[in-house]
Amino acid sequence: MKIRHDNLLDRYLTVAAQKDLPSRDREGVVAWGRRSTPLTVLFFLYLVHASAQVTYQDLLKADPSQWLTYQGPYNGQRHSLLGQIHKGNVKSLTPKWIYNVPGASRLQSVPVVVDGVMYVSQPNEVHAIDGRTGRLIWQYRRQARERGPNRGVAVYGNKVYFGTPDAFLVALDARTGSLVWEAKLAEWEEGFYSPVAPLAINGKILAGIAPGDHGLNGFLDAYDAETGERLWRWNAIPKPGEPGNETWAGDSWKTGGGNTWLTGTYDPELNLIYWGIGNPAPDFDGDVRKGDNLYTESIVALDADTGKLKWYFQNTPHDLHDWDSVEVPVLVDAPFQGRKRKLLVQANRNGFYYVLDRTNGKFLHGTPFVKLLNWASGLTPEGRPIRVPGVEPTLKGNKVCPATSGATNWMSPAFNPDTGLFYVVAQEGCGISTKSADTFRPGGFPFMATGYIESPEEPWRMHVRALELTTGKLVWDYEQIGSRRYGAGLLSTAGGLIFSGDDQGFFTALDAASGKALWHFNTGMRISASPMTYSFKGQQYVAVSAGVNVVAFALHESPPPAHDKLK
Amino acid sequence: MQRLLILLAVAQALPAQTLSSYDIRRAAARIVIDGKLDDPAWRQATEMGEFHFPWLREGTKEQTVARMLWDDENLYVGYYCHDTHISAFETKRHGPVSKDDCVEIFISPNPEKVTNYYTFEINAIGTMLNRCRTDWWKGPPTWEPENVRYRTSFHGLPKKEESPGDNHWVVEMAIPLHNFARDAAHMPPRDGDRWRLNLNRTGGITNRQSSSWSPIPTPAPAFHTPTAFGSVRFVAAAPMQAAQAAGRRGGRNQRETNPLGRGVQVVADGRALYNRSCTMCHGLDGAVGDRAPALAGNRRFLRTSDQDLFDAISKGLPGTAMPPMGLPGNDTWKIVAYIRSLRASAYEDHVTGDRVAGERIFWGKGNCGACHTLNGRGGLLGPDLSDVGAGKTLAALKETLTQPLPHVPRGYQPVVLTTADGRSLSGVLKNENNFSLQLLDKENRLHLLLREELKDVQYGNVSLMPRDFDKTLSAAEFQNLLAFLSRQARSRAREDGTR
Repeated sequence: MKIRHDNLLDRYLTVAAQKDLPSRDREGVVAWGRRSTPLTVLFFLYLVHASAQVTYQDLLKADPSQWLTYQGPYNGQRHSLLGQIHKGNVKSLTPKWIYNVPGASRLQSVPVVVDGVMYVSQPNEVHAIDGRTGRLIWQYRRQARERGPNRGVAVYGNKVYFGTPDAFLVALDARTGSLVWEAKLAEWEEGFYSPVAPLAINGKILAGIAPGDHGLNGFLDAYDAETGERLWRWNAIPKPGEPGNETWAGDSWKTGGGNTWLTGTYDPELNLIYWGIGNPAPDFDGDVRKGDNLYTESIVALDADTGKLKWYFQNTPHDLHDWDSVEVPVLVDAPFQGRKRKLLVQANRNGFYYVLDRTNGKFLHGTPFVKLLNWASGLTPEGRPIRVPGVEPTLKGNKVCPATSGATNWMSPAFNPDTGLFYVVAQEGCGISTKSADTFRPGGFPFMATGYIESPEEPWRMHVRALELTTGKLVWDYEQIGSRRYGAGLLSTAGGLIFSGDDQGFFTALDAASGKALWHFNTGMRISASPMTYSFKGQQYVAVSAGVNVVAFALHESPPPAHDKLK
Repeated sequence: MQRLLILLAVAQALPAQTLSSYDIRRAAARIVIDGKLDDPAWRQATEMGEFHFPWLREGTKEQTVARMLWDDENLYVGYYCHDTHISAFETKRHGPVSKDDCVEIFISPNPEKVTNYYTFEINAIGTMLNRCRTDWWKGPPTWEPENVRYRTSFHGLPKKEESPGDNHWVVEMAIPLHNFARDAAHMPPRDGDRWRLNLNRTGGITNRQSSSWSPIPTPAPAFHTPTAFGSVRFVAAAPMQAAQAAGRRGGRNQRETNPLGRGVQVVADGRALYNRSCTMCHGLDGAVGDRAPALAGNRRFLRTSDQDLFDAISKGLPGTAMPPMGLPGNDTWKIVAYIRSLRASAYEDHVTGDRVAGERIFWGKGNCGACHTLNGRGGLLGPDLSDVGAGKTLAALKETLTQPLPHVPRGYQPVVLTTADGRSLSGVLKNENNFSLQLLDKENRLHLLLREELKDVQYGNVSLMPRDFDKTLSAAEFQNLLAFLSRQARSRAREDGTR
């Protein structure tokens, strides 16, 4: 390879490019010279709009070489059709590069990849990196306050979108990181922030908000992807006169919580968005908010065009343990009791695994997916928990299983259509929950009416579990020995693999059929995010945020450089 | 966002039929009416936005930078009028001042009845005319508002004739709110109250002005068109927040504690004093120091706060050649203001020129928009300039437009690549090392390449940025472009809360 330095590059550029490029492009090249006509300016501007990167069709198609949303495909299955890395060769999986995110503490960002360019976020920052080499392309940093984690970005057209600690939705140019627009979701001074990866749907960007633990009422917003104009807002807590407000005693709805802090899923055929709603506030004292407290601890289905509520299913009516229902609602089309149905399944923080009909929210089946569960003896035919008295928080404290951190949490589950199994990270553990009197203070102060501690009676254990999709029956169980903290989610691939991570920093590939560990790598950093996969120029990569780094893996034997596949 | 939309609207030259709008903030501190606009309180007032010139057929558009504030007693209005031909002759109270270089404010306190409005017209030498155009006023054609305090740059002169040094003039006024009690919903106004009003510029001899803040859609000049008045909202920003905003800027140890502020006049006085007392060592205009450091420029300075500079000048610096200067206190503060102005961002500087014309040059003749983005619009090969006014001094801005760079900045090196299969790619390198290159091509596509996939890499050693704008633009055009670029300060807009 030759390397030359040329002071007359202007001229060279013009000549070389005119030789090689179709005539339409020559206008653009001329603009590289010292002077140009207004016509070339127009041409340049035209190009900016002409090369849209990610279209709605791309998002629908979900080409497996790309990873376009927090969950990958819209259905939330986190199952990739890439099979270059498979059970037979995963043993030679090797780290290809490590990208350190300066200033990071515990990354929760799931990288998004478009044509080999990876977008990784942390609070106030987005980094665009070369997905093949881990080299930085651009970095955007916003001067703002620090609050909460950041779970990732959305991409649409030529823009990258992310939420900020001061409750803005920010749009950047995907090629340079230039700020295009910012839309205010809510007042940060009141305590709002936006840690959730936005979701792009057909020209709209959906953005959620946190935290409900501060008595701030949640909502889900849709913004025009191009202009940042708000198109609709769905309020998670109904106001007086709206259906559901009667499930709040007195004025308790005003500080009801119900936030939207994890990315939901989308069914393009039904044009419905599925989003999990967080806890009611104050978290541990239900006496001041008697009633079911809709739509906290619910899965809601919203019309993507209008934001109108189509149906809801409340997992935990009148929750007393901060069991946010935000866990990913996974969309699967599968036979249920002999009939093919559009299903929505969710492993909930309250310990139950739910199977719903996603066209209407009808409860079909539910069963615990953890052994330590003492707060309900089961579910009614409508899916409502049958509560066991004596576990609710008191001044002195009561033991409740699962604990507040939940039977699972933000770590993503996965579904593999080949095995027909649903995979979930489960936490076996109990807590002692207490309550006290609390008063709401605006400004982002906790409004929880006290909290919980780990129960000393049994050790906490983390598991990766495979459940039968429609019955929730346990098929295999992989205990993450030595690990006791949640955070790392799952990825399923057509190579018959489930990728998982743990708080010891181990990134592990399991056999999707048996749960046997086939490969592992010690990243040296606690993993608190979900892995993802993509391919570029013929090579499949698996990447995960681990502590302060993003680590990308590929097979040791790389395919030869793909000259013919240059974009 | 709103700001962006406004910019876009201006850029696309849409017919200006919409009304202007503005949030009047509460003044955080006392304002001295001295015709200087240098009180700290003015710093938290955002600019009201460009004036419109629907009737100008020829001549130069000379912009007016207006700001407003309020407290329980007064409505404050500040005008900074760019003007290279200043003249005023009318000295008689309620005389026809609008034929002189003149500013006006027409105020309608009741948005339900916008035809009830009060007028204040003041020429450059401080003669005022008032009328009360309301349905209840039964008095004479003129009106005597109570206790209006105001000062202009040429206040009290018997006359002001055009002179070669003319550059700008200022009007600062405080209007007691009780003058509007009869038409206002609340007195004093409450947070969120909306009024309607318009600000105008009129008169002069050479290059006669006729512009208004809220655009007036009449074919001929008709300032008395209350339906075109803009909408203002009284905002009671808590003093705490203002203090926090000040604290954020102060975090860079650039606290502004100069009792004289940093107004144009203070800086001009400071410059004269500096060039009389300090040039021996620090060089003329702080540019080149023979015996002591140049005080202007882009290098890092040890002493950056007002107080640090004041102390250095008044007490000297032990162990160096810097002596105590023994100047009267006010003179020292003036020099401090001047030194600070040498280091001020272009946004904080007082840059003359027509920024509306400058914007046209940015997108047109200057062709800047082909490579640079402003608030989401423009080309991608060069740096985003949305904040360039806040990030560079005026001197650095000029240098960027006129002086060749010693090397191409990282991330913008032009390059032509030939791939192993003979294809050619050209663009700027966002990053590279021994093993890979990341290229943004001229069609704004990113390319991720390994060295082993390339046959040839040609680096351009000259940045694509033209550096001869002082030659390719006329002096006036260049100045207008500077005026426009100096106003690009998105980060400041955010700090000021005017997203």
